[in-house]
Amino acid sequence: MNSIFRLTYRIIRSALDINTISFLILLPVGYLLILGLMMGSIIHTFSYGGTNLSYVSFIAPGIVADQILMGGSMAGWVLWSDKRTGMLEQIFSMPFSRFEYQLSNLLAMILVTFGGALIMILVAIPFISIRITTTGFLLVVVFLVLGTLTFGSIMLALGATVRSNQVFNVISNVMFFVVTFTSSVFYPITSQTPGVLAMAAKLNPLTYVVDGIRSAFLNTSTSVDLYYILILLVTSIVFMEIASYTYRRIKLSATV
Amino acid sequence: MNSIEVSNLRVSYDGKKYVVDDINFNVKEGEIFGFLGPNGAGKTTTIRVLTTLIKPTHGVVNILGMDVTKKGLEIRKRIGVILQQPSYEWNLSVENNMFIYGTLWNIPRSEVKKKIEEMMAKFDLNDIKKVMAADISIGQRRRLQLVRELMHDSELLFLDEPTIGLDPIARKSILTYFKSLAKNGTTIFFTTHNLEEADFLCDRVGIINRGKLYAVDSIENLKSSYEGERTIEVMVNKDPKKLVERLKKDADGAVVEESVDLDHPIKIVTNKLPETMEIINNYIKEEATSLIWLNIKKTELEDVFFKVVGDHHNE
Repeated sequence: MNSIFRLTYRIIRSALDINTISFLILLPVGYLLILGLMMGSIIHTFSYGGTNLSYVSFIAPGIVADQILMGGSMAGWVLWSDKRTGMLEQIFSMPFSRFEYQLSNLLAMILVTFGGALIMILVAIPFISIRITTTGFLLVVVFLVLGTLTFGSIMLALGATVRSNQVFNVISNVMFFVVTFTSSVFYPITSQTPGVLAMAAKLNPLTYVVDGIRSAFLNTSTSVDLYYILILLVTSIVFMEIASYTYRRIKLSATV
Repeated sequence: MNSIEVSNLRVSYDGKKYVVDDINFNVKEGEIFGFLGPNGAGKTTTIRVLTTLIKPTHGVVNILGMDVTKKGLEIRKRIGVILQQPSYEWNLSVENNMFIYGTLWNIPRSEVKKKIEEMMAKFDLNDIKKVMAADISIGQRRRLQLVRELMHDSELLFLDEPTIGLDPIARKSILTYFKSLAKNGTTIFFTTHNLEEADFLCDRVGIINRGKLYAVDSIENLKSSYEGERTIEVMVNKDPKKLVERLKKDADGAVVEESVDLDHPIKIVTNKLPETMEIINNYIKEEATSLIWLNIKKTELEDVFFKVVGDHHNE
């Protein structure tokens, strides 16, 4: 078996216990059902992309896209946990390169993201109107992969850099909050959005993932989505490179 | 043929101070080489260079004929490493920890299962095989870490203080297993504080202190080079610190190890036994104290270690 697949298998087997999986699934399901249905009681339908949508139909693709943040934070957490339990140093003393470890971590997170996204779609189906085509499905896959590579790499760089668990948790929670709420997960970015927040949304890669997946779900994808893919391709490459750089500089424990 | 060749190795973490400073040694194929030194001597840093975890600042290190700076991946395919730091998959059972480790080493599934059964029986892990690694004792985790590494074949095994936390029975069984591996041709590089273990296991030892390697030889040769030396252990019933000061001042060429309290003896390694005994006798008379314990013995590995480390303590 290839080195990367063996490492990926290890991450999936060792990192994903029942508590972690419950957290990964229950939080987005909670967002979708509680927030979606509660907000839906005050915002009945609104116009988006030329169609009238219920609020839950609007946020469902956003919640699916938000899975990449869940997957991303898992990537950072796995690295952090491997540092804490000594497994990182042990793996680095085995026939694996640091780059293989990084790729396997990202691959594991892509699988987690897909699993989570699939569950979100199944949960959402009774509440939303979905018009996805085969091309649309492929676009969702591309957006999820690029989004996970981007945010997974950011979290890996964070996990490689910070030295305390508390700092890692605080930064990742703040990031989760800021990235989610300055994107179009919960509300569309329109001409009425305050200027600063509109700019933040434009700079936020999650906005492009959400908008791309939403277009695919509603079958309203245009050539603009290719532009989004290009942006995400660039952010993936840049952040993977940053993660690689921080990986190379990981200091193993300081015992002489 | 040499499995390990180290020439002028120097390592610095901050670019200013060398934690390993210009050391040279070779380890022959099939040999068990003990690397001895006190805490912070540079043992773990050396092992990290030899296992390709960090790069040397200066010098050349060849492992199995390959340069550590160029052939890291190739080297790691052929070695086994048991690090000092504990490592385990905390939320998997002991059995699954071993299974994952075997998978990482690309051992075929059916063979892994057979190996797990064999190793668990040999090292008495069957009772805890279904228990989560997070829930077992430190000693059991250490045993898991050791046994896991022995599942795959390696030409060269690096053991960084492998018996820390093990009970005497587990320690004996693992050390005997290491000996049998060496008999079958595996080279073993072994760091320890435990000199009794080194005496039992090693063909040759190196003694490192403050980054410098002060002695490399067989245990027999090291002992015989200190043939004239005797170790005196002495306990007095008051103020042992004063006696230590007197010995340090007057006992020419002796290495004096202070006792931590009245319950532990002061240890003196000297080649001038009568003169040193006279200093002790005079001290007892002058201070009106009495002797609680006195033991004079021939030089053991522990004494050689103590002497070598002590001789270079103030350099």
